[in-house]
Amino acid sequence: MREKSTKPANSLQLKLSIIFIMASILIFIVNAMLIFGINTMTREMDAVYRDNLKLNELAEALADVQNNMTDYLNTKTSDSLERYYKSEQDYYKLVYELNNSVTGDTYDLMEKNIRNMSNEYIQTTGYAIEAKRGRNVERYSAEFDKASRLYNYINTYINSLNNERFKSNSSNFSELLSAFRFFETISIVMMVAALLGSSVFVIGFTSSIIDPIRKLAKSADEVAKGNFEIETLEIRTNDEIGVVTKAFNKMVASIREYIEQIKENMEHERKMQEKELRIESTLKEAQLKYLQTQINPHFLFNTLNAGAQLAMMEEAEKTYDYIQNTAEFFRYNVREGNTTVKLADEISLIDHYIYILNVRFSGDIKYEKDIDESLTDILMPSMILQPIVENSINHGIKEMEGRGKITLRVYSEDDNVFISVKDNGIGMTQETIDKVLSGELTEEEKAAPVGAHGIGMDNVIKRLRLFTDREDSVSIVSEGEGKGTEVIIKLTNGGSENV
Amino acid sequence: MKKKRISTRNLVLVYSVMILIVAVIFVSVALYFSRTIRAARHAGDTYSAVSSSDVNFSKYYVMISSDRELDFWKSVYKGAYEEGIKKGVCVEMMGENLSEDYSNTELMEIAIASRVDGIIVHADESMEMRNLINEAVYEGIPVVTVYGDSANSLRCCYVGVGSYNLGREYGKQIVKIAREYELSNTTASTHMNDTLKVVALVNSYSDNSNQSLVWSGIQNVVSTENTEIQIELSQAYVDNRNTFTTEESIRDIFRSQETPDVVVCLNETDTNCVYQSLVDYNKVGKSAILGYYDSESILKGISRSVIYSTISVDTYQMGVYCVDAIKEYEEYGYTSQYMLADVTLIDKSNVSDYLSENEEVTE
Repeated sequence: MREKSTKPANSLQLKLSIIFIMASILIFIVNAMLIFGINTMTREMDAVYRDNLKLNELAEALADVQNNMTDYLNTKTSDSLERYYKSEQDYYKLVYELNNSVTGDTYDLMEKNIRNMSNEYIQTTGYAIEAKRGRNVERYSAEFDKASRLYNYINTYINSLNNERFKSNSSNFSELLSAFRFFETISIVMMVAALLGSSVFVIGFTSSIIDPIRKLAKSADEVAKGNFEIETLEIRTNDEIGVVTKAFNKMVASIREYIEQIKENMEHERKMQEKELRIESTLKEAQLKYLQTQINPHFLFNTLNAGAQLAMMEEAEKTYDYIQNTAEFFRYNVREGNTTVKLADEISLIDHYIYILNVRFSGDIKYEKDIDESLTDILMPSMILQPIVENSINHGIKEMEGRGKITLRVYSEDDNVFISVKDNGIGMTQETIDKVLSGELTEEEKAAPVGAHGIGMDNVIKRLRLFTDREDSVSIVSEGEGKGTEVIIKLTNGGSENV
Repeated sequence: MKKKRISTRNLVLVYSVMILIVAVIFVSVALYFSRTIRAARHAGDTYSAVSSSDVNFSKYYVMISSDRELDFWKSVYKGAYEEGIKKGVCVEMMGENLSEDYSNTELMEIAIASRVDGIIVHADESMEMRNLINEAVYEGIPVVTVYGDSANSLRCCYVGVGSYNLGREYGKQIVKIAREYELSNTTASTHMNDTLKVVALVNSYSDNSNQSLVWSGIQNVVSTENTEIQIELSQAYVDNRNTFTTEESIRDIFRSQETPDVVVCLNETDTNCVYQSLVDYNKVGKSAILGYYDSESILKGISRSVIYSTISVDTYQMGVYCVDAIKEYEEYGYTSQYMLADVTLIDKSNVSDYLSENEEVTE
């Protein structure tokens, strides 16, 4: 429906029609001219000898009159008389057509003379016939003599005129002939020129129509081969081809767009998969490392449980608690599979860990918590906080002989949940912080402070970054040597729940 | 990319231009042809110099002379023709285009039968000619005789040279020659003949009063002028019955008779024949030729001293007079009986003027 309303101004049909009609008109005109020229020529050629024919007719008619008159005068038969009258009539008719006016043309004058003499002649023959009828011998022979003389004169005139006309007509004719030749040459030249001209224009014009089609075909071929990176076709005309070309351009652009979109989607999906794989693999790595450091956690756990029961039976409360905490701590580590845990679980692991350490180091570490309980359901990767705390103790406050202090804070700001592990230990230089965050610590540097579990900070940071998908998920703040260190984990509130 | 861009409008334009060019070429070719053909058509006109086809003719006169090929008559005809164009009359030299060579009388018959509006004829005093002239006049055709008269006919006018005066002019020339002869006789040691033989060539078969008038003119002058040498006048008859007899008769004169001292010729043909005979018989200087008419060859003869002198007749004027006479007769019913053309003597002293004149004309 729409196409009908926007019908191209110069439709293909119109163009083609113009080509053929124009070519036909050109050829028609050339032909018409040729026919006209040939007709004119023929007419002229005809006219050249028409006069001669007429004069010959006249001469014959005159001879008839003379013969019939002579015949009658000889034989006096009514038959010859009849023939005489008939021939006289014929001759008179012919004579009547001759020129009777005075012009400057010699031939016209000769015609006039022939006409006048003929009238005289007819009159004279009439008298002769009359005299013969009246048996006036003297008179009719005199009239016959006069008529004969006139007959000779007229004949001479006719012959002369015929001759002269023939002479001038012959020169006319040769001129006509040369003109005809000239015309022939011109005609051939014109015909060839018209042929060449129309050929050139037909070829030019059809190629102007065909060219866009050819380009379109080439482009379509390219597209069929799968190459969408083709140049946009130029739309030159306003006809059907123009419309098709426009549509083709649009189609190619649309296809390109769709392909781009699909590619993007695929890329995104691939990234997601990769991320998950990496998360899993790092966790596996952490667990592997952990397992490498443990002989047999399950055995240890069971052993500890047995120890706790034993302490219970001996009513040694403190021992029981200690063993129980230790058992809890190890149980957390030997849980099967869960890569993601709730924040509360991590916090309770810290609690156990700190308890154990305090027992070990006889209450040297002060441990403070400032936790927004509403945020403890948030999900996060497991085995994150413990290594950090371990790190803080090992690097920060191990040497502080009872003055060390760990502060764990959980709070929210905007959409983010912050988990802060702060110590008042030896602190870190900005250089070290940068190195840690960018994971550029050497093996040696890493190795030295590694705690019992051996899970390094770089592993923690990597996992957190993978989990949260943001670079700033871990930050370390230290005001300098001896001023303590704060590790802040930033999680998106609720955003990670579905991971 | 842009060069191949041919819009529909441009194409139509180019096509139209092509068609236009083709049409223009054809029209010009057609014009060229029609012009050529028209030019060929007009080749039949007698005098293309004076475009006679532009003139509206009301009358048709014919001029009749069997000697129409001579310069003399051509000049007369030219005068008549051009005067005719001025007066709206078409003048035709009769018999010019005919395949048969008719005599004057036959041409007269044709002219009468053709009912022309006027006849200019080189007549003679024969009975036949007189009857024909009378017949023409009865038929209502005015007749003017020219150069040769038919005095007793009903012709309305005679246009010619004053034959008596012409004869006197010849006579004067003869006397002049006689005087020169005397002079040479006295100076020369040898005494030569004391008579000057003069032969006048007369046509034997035309009863022409002009000849006798000329003759008497000559006689008159010769007898009145006193010369020491006796002048012996005689006539030699030239047979002019048909085309070639004139020449033969003249050669006979030079062969048989004693060579005359002076030969008087009364027409152009005679002059030419005598001139040629003199050259052929190696008698140049022995005879003085008194010629007639100023044709190119005669003028050359004078400049080469073969011909002593010649009489120039204003032939053009004669032609003009002929047409004027008929025209006058048509208008008023009468005209003067005689009209005489001017006559000039040409000899060695003034021949150069005429020669250059003629050359100019031929150029």
